[in-house]
Amino acid sequence: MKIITAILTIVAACLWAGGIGAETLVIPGTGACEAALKGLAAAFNDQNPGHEVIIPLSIGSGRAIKLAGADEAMLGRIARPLKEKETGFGLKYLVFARDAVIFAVGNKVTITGLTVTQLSDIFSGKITDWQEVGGDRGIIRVIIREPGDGSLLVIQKHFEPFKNLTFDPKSKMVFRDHDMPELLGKYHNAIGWLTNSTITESPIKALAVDQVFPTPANLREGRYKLLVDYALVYKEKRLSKLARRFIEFIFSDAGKAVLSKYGLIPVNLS
Amino acid sequence: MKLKNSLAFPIIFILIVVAFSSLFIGYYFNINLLTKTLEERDQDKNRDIIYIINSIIKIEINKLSALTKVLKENNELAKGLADYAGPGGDIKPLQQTMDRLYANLDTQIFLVTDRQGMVVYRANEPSVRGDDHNVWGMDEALAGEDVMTASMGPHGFAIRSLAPISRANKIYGVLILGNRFDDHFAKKIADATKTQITIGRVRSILASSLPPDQRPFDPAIVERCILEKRPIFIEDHQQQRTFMYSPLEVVDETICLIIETESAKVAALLKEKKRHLLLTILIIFILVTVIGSALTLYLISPLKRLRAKAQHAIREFSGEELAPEAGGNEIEALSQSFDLMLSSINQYIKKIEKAEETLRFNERFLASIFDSIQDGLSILDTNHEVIRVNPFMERQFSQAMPLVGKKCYEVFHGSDQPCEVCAARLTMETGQAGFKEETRVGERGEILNWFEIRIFPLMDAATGKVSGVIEHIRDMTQQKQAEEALHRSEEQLRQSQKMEAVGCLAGGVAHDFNNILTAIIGYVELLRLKFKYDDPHQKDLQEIQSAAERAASLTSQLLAFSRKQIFSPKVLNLNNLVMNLDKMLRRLLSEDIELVTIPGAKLGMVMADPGQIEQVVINLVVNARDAMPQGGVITIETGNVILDATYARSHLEVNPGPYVMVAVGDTGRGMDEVSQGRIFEPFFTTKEMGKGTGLGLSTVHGIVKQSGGHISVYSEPGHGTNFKVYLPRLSQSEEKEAAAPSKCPLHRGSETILLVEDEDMVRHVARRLLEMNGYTVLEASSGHDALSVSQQTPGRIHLMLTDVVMPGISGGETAELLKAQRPEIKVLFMSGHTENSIVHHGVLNPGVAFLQKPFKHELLVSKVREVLDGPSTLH
Repeated sequence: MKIITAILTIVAACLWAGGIGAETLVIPGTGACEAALKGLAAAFNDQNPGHEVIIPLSIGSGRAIKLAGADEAMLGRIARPLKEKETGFGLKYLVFARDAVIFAVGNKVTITGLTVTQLSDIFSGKITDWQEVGGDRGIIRVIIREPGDGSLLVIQKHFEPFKNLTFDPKSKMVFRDHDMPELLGKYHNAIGWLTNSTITESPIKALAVDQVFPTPANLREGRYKLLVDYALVYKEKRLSKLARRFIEFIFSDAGKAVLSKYGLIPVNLS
Repeated sequence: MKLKNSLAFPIIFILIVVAFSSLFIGYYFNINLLTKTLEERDQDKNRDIIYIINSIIKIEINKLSALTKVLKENNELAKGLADYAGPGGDIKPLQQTMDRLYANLDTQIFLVTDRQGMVVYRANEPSVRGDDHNVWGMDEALAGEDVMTASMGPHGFAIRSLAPISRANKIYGVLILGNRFDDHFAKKIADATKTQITIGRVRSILASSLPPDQRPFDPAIVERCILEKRPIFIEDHQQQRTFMYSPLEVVDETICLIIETESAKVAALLKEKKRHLLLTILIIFILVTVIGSALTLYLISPLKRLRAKAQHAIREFSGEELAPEAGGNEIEALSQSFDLMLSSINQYIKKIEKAEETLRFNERFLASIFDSIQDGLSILDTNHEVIRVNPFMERQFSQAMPLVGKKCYEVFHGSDQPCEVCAARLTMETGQAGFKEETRVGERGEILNWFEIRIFPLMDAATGKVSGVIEHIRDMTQQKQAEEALHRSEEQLRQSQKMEAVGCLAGGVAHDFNNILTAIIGYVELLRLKFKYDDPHQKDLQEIQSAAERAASLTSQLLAFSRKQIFSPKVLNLNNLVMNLDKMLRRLLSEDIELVTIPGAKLGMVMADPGQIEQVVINLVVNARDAMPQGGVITIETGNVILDATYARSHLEVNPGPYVMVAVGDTGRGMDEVSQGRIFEPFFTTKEMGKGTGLGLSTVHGIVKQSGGHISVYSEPGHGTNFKVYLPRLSQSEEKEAAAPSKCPLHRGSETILLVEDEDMVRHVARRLLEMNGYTVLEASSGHDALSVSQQTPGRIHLMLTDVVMPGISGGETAELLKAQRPEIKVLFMSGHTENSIVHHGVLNPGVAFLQKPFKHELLVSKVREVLDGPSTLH
């Protein structure tokens, strides 16, 4: 009886210890790098059984920043820089990858590239038909992102006309990264912008901007300037061992490979 | 007591804290519960609203989709459109079809476009044509896709279902059905959900059930809620309204439903509830505080009262005032008070116990005094009821009945009525002490007891009134008896003194008379020797001698009476003496007198002079004879008796102890008390003149006293007389010490005798008698003379015959002095006295020879011879 009790005690202790040792890391945030991070998480989890990194559905960069700042999330994934008012949370901003912001169109659009001006005119509603920009006749369905969207910020940063652009009232606004490719796939004459990693198997195509396609080479060499940083925000002292290890994994070769696989440009840990 | 130290303070404080805590907790939980409940209800309502709206929209979408699917297959519609699209197309069939179809539809948007997307027919607006209905999905529909879209259009935001209308695989146009998200729609939803709603996009309001000036819309909140994909609640404090911004996906658009929630109402309600609850709590708190405080004070007040009572008890028990406590609440103060009270009570109890012990001791002491008093004490109440008596009273009066609880007249007087003259009642009435003497009389009327009763009023210490009496009963019986005995003793003493005086007188007379008689008898004997026996003078001389002998007998009686007679005691058995006297006594009695002798068994021995005892018996028998002139019975009885202390107390001269009694009783006329008191007086007689000398009983009395005995007489007139003579009984050892009687042979002799006698007649006659018997006689008239004669006599002097009492030195002294000169000389004393140095209380010293005067010639010569022949007698 005593032996059985001892064994059960040891087993319970092990389970308890195992329970204590097993960690779960949830990284809420933007949907922009959601797919890539899910890939990273899957790879990391495979390598670290007993632990789990979870990448939940997008709640947006802003929410992730708030959660991390309120210590409700150990790590947050964002696709934009911290705003001035967000710097007060004391968060560290760690870019782990870059993604190209591309302008994409539905599969009925015949053009392959636009200028910035054209893009701005299209998105402002000045240009309403593809025929006006050299394509087949078709009403341009403009799909935009919400104000403050990271990719929009990148566009606005690099494309002057977009800084104070008033978008076409008839445009559809999507709020999640995966909505854009979905609508672009639905509306064949639609145009919008999204990150490169968001394009999966959607029948959309990227446009060249000022004749610069968002190719890996152009991206690498900086000719295509529309790049959005994917970063992790966190408070250093709150990082768990698992979080630290996941971050290390991201910057590891394996992590970079995963990032590359998702079309992201890995960065080195700085 | 300081307030802060009062028990009320912490209790009330705790009460307040508990009440406050309870109420606060209750308030908190209540409010939380209420808030939660209301919020949940509100949230549930909001969710329900969103759900309903979602459902409505979905239903709408589904309806539109289903209708579109159905209508697009409508041949009439397709034909109408196809016909219209043809050359010279007629719109009427299409219109009719459209109208007919629309009549059964519940959609706002029902139009058909041509292949270019131009509106061919619009329901309700049939005249509007050529409208470019450039809506989202038109291209896709013209491309042959069924598209559901939500987008802004010419007339606002609407859900549209687009479907190509084809016929024979040729698309002729697009059928568009849809419903706008307009105010009507909003109102419809509002009616369905009973909630005012506003529908908006990031930049604009699409529809609202509210008037324009009341429509809530915050683009930032809209954007936030859409971005965060969660409801956001906004309060309009100014208007006290709350709104829920909730994202809603409508096909491929995300819009924002702005619902006025009841949160404001809930909040207001909560606020109101809070206010009411706070007010209620405050009231309850105040009530609890007040009631609790009052109750606390009410509950504490008994403690204070208890403490006050404890203080009172302390003062009462110890006389001390409770020292003010240094701090402490009521319980502590009460505890302290109780401790002190207990201490005081303990001390008081100890005092009481001590006092009770002292009281019990005093009671016992008083009771012992009460009971120890050899006099009687009785306490009566005002009803004459005996309350308490002491043992003396119990012994005296409780034989017939118990005393306590009985009436005094019942107990002490055997009466059932109060005494007519009652000293106790008088004392009760007057409060003055009283005195009375009472006697207790026996059945034959004899006085058994004399009592002196002193009565004292018993005062009630509380009222000062007489509550009874204390009777002090002194038994004067013994005193009376002692007084009587003393009186008798004094009488006896006077009698004895009288008799002593008479005895002395008689003794003195007898002594001198004896000397005269000695001479007379001596000379008569000498004369008779000179005459022949038949000489006529012999008769005369015989008469003279007889007379002289009678005179000598008389002097002998006188000496016996006066106890001057020389007492020669011997161990004597009175039975033998009486038996020896029996013959002689019978000769003294007449024939009509019976003599009965009753000897006692195992009679003890006495030390007495046999002759004297014989004389006593003879005198008593003679006296008895003389008391029975008509005859009777004389009884002589002997026996061993014990005269105890009680007898001795009433007879002063008696020493308690064993005695031998000889009693002589007669059946004669008896004597009265007066006579009994005088019978032992010399010369007292009840006989006729000349019938008695009156010395017989006095002689008996003298002899008995001289023998150390006691005589008593019991007589009653007409009932005879009984004389009892008690002589001390010898112990067995004393009997053995009795000396054998000595013989006294009669011899002539030739020794030299020194005759010392101051009386010349006696000396001369003695000399002549001695010389007649051959002795040589030397005379001396005094002791000194004797010594002188002895010194002058060279030869032996064999015997000194000397008188005891002489002028100058006595015979004893002379003998002592002569013994120094002549140690071998023998001495014979002679005297008519007993008060001399050699005779102590009439008893000769052992070994001393003595010759009582008057003596006969024969007695003189025989005694001289006896002494000369015996050993030296002077020690």
